[in-house]
Amino acid sequence: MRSFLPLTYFAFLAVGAFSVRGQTPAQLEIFEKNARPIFSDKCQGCHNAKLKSGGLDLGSLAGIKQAATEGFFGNASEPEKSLLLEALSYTGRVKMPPQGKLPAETIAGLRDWVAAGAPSLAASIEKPAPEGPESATSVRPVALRGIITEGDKKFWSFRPLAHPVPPHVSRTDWAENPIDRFILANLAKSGIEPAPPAGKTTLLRRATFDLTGLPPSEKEIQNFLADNSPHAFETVVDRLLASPRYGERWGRHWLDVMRYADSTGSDEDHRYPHAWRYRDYVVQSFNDDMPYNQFVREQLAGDILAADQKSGVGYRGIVATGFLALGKKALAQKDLPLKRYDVVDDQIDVTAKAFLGLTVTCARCHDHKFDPIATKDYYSMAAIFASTLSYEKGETGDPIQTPLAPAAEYAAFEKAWSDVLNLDKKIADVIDFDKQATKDRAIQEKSISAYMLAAYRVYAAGEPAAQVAADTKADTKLDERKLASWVDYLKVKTRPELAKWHAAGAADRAKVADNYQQEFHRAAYQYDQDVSWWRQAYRSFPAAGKVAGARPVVSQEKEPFFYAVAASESPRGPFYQSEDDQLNTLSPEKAAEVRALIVQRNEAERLAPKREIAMACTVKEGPTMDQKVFLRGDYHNLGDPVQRTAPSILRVNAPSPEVKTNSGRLELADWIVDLRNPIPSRVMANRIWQGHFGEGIVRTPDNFGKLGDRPSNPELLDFLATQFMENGWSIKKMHRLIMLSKTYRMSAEYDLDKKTKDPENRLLSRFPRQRLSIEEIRDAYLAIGGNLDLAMGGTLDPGVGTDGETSASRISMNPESTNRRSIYLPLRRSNLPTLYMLFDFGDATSPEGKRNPTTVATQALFVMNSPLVDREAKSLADRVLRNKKDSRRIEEAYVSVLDRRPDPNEIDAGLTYIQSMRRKWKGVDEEKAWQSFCHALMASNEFIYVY
Amino acid sequence: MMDINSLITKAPKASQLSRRAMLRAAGCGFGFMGLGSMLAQAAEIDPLAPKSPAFPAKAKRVIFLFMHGGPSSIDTFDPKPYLIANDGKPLPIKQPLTFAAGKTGALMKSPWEFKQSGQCGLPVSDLFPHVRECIDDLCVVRSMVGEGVDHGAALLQTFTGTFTFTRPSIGSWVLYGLGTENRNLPGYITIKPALSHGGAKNWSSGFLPGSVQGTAIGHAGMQVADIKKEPIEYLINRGLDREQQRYELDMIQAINRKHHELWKQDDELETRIQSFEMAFRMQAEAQKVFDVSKESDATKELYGLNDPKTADFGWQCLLARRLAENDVRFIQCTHSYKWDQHSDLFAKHNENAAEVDKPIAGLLKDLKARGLLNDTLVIWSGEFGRTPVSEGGNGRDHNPYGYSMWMAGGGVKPGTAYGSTDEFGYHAAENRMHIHDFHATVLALLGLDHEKLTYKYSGRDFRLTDVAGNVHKGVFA
Repeated sequence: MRSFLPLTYFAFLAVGAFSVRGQTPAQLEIFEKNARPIFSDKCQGCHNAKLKSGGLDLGSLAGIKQAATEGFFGNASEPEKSLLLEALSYTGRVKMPPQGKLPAETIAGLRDWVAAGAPSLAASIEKPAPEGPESATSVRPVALRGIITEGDKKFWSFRPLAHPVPPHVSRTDWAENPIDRFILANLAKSGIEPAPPAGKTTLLRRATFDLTGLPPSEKEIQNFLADNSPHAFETVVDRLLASPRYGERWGRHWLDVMRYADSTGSDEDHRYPHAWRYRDYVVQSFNDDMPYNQFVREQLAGDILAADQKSGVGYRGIVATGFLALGKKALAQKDLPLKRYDVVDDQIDVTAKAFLGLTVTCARCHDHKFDPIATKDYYSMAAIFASTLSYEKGETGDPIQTPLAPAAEYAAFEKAWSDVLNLDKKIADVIDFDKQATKDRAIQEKSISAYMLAAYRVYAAGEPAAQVAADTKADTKLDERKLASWVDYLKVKTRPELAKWHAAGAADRAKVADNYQQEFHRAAYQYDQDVSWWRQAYRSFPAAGKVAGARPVVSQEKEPFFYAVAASESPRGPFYQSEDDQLNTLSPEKAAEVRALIVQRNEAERLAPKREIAMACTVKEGPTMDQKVFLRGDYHNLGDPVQRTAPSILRVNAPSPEVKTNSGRLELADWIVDLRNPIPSRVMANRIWQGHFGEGIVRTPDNFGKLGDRPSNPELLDFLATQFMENGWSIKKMHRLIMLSKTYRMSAEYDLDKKTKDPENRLLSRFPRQRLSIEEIRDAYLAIGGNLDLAMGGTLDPGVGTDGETSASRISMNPESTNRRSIYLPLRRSNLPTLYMLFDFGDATSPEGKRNPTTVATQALFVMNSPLVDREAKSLADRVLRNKKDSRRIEEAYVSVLDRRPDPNEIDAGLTYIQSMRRKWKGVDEEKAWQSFCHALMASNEFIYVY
Repeated sequence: MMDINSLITKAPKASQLSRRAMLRAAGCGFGFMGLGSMLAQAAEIDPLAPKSPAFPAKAKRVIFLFMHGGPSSIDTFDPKPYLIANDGKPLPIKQPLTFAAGKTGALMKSPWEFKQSGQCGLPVSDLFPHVRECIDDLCVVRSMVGEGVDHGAALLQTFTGTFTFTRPSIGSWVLYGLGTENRNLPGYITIKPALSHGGAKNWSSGFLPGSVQGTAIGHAGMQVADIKKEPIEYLINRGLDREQQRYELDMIQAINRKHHELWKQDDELETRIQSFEMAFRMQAEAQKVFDVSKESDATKELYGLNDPKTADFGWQCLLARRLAENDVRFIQCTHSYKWDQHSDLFAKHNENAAEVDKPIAGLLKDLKARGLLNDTLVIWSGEFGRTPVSEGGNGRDHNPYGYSMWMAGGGVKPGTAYGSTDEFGYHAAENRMHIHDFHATVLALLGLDHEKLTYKYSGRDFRLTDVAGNVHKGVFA
């Protein structure tokens, strides 16, 4: 698949701030709009610099220019006579493109282009326009062919760190923390005063959600209010940073950037059964305050580090590469090189965005239009990831899973379980019990209504069974023995699933029987499908017998009729078939053979090691790929060879080390965290800032390129980036630095003046009000009700492989069905929980450094009607009811939900509400009224926003 | 009823509104404006407000009947005499990339007979006798082309234009482009959608605002009886009756208004207050629309609700009509996931068609009788067709290179066949309609210009058709 920029982009280009010799923007637009996309899409396959079919190269601007000089595009006054239009019109000897005539509109577009004098960009881009300091409107296309200009090097994010000195400020109370001096100086320039300090309860709620994703407890509120020391808030920050809840909150921020999910996403959405280990690794790393440079190295090259005993990284490093392994994968893609390079593309995308704040994947097909990233830069990174294996066999096989155990132990484990599996297969070669059952059912299900009607004649009308069996016309002949068991089954009037049958009258009995037949068919189809998918999982993974989960069983509760007829052993259903019944259909010799195999299989299973070996979804080193540029992203169309290295613009400051590993991942990681490299520390410092303030200093956290935002306070960003590195890349030290500033402790208050002068709060004239994320909303509701389960780590999804096409287990786990923290809910990419999608969770497929909160009515439906909110409100009501005094009850509800005490008006209103609830409606008891009151608080704006 | 509002705050609602209006107007620098213009302004920033399309629309809404798995064109709407004459002979052209490589064999003629019907005389196979009766309303496109050889890629391309990235689905684009005229129902509804092959990505809003996300009514694995209990997740309150819930909502809003007093400059707070009012209305309205029980017996019979074979898809089609009547912009019904006949083509295609044929014809007739077909575009399609060569002797493999779909109503030329495949039915020949073209054409029928319907994301403008797409005016009436 090629990815072109849309035409609107070209229109934008044409009015952009650059100049091209002798061509007007309108002429350029017509080239970009009418000609270039067609050449690129339809002609370049053959007419390129390499093949030059017919001596023509429409793949490069030089080629197009040459074609123009050679008269290929004819004369502007007579466009129809040009060779180009003759070929396109299919009227002459040469008909192009050979796959079929282009649509008339396209040809007309090219005609207009010829009539305009066949203008092209040619190789005539003049000296780049001077780099406007940081203005977003000064974007311009880079010179083609990836030449890096002085202007590029001076672009703000590529420049070396400035090591700025905090400016002098006159307000002594804002002079202490350097952050405040940068902020205050910026505000002063616009004539704005910073907001006053936030109140204590507000600040505590802010900091607690910020660092842990949870509300403060009543006790924590009391302690903070009672602590009058000047270091009271510092104590709070340190307490929160030491809490294991911290890693769960900030780990989730990182997982957004890492586009984390527990399944492949494309086609069948196969599970990544061990993805959770990577998630737990991230949580743990944040809690341990692993230095960021080490964190980067482990995620990019942990497997290589683990192989080195001295590194001390061990299995942790193998798990860390889950970052590369857990992207979207199309296992069913039949175009194998494309399948491989789509994975490479995902790995480049997430690496570049996460660590470098750069979008580079457009350079898969063409040089980046704005940033100095050429296709050869892209393919230099591709060379690294193409030399890394993501599938067992490179392009085929399962996504890689690596045992976290010594090789010998794993080999013994796998050998034992593949013996079991092989015996299973041997048995299936003689008789495949499941397939046979499916086949039998296909026959049975056509005769159900016939059997039911026949049985009725026997048990209700007393006709002789033999005669009934003989004269019933059905797709299959009725078997007298089976008919007898149908009679036994149907004549019991108390069976709930047969209520409709016994209620049927003579007129509709046949139709009712038909409905039962349909019901059986539907349930059988679903069950057979579930079994078949389970078998696939069971057979397809190493030692899968241990992890495929239990064999599906027919649910008596959900499918009572199908269960009673085909799955119930006792009482025996009329169509129930035991293993023995099936074996009896074979010859005695064959049956004996299978019986012997079954004994063998069971013995093998008994002997096999039962302790499951921990596995991780990972990548591993592959053979070094001799990578070439793919022209226009097409792997058939090879360009120049490339080295395994980082993009050239970023090597200006930090030269990349010599590649010694197969893939070059370790060298890439080392280079990223090279102290001379200015981008990674800027990007991460900005992410940390954004975590606290909702917006970064650069508001496009994943794009520090020219189409990205410019820093609102570049000196502050460089200061933070420098501090980050000087503090040994400690993220927790950054939190402390930021949170102890006056800036962080400001109130969110603002007036019309501030709204006018700093409408988007880019200068931070007040603390930004933020909406809770879905994880915070859900976790906080559970915490308020007192039901939050704080168990850490592990998986809630023990399955492997895929599920039946229509199986409900394809949907991510229902967030209402567990009390664990939201971060631990497994995410099926193709069907994220509705709740997550409602609240702007993102797609868990592309790296997303920032969520975009929306406010829509369907969110309100969740808040109003969800059983979870309802349950937690009830739980809170039960708790507040333990107080004797009504006013104290209201107080406790306010403190639990809104983390503050109510004022007297609010207490009055609450009392009135509860009294009138009970007065107005019979059946609304004390508990229900209080539940409703708690619910109202939990639904309020004050709850869902943090100030 | 006790006015909680006055208890908890001193400011009554009405004065709040006008004060807000003044502030907003002042904040925007336009001087004083009345309430009317304030609402107009609110509509501008509201992505769901109804909008007039770029050029006159032939259709106002879409009903997409999706046949998941890939029904065979050459066995339904595109007869191939060549296959009858050459049954069992090898395919004389090079076979393109195929899903079940190595398993496909010789050419296989259609096991169904085609019969001409209607005034237009277009042939339809015996798989669709009821739809055949409606042939004079259909515009059959026989030259569809896609690139996905596997289901996942093909579904994603059909609904989002690409299988390489996560992108907004066509329904989201339409809702984004046209807004909705009924704020008490979601503007984009997909009934019993497939969970596999892209799942929710096939109705996601991608980078468009979350409010244009498709709302799923159950999913393919659910039974209608269970869906009816709560068609939209979180639609039904189980604790309070409506009057009680209104009272609770009054309390919520009273708390919210008091809170708003503290943060007068924050418009977002008012937006969330309003979202609760809308949700409350939606609860009542949506439940009415989803209740099909009051439809006449004749209507139920028309859609096949009385026959267990057709009851499921019949319910979907009937619900689609009710949603169309209530101005839902984009409605999708899915028959999932049944049409993937790598083997047993004859039996299974017969079974599948029998489940949908009558409901589809019922829908077309009903829409026509109610005058809704004029401005409703009905689309019937799979994610691809199937190969003219057999797979394993009695099945057919995937074929995205040339397949059929049809449209009806909403400004398409009725009783026509548009485009063609080669004589084998493998590749599209005349008037090739790539999925991008199909998208451009559907948008055009709705009055939207696919090149102008853009959304800025990640620094550049995106559109449904990326850089491709030609409007096929040949299908316009």
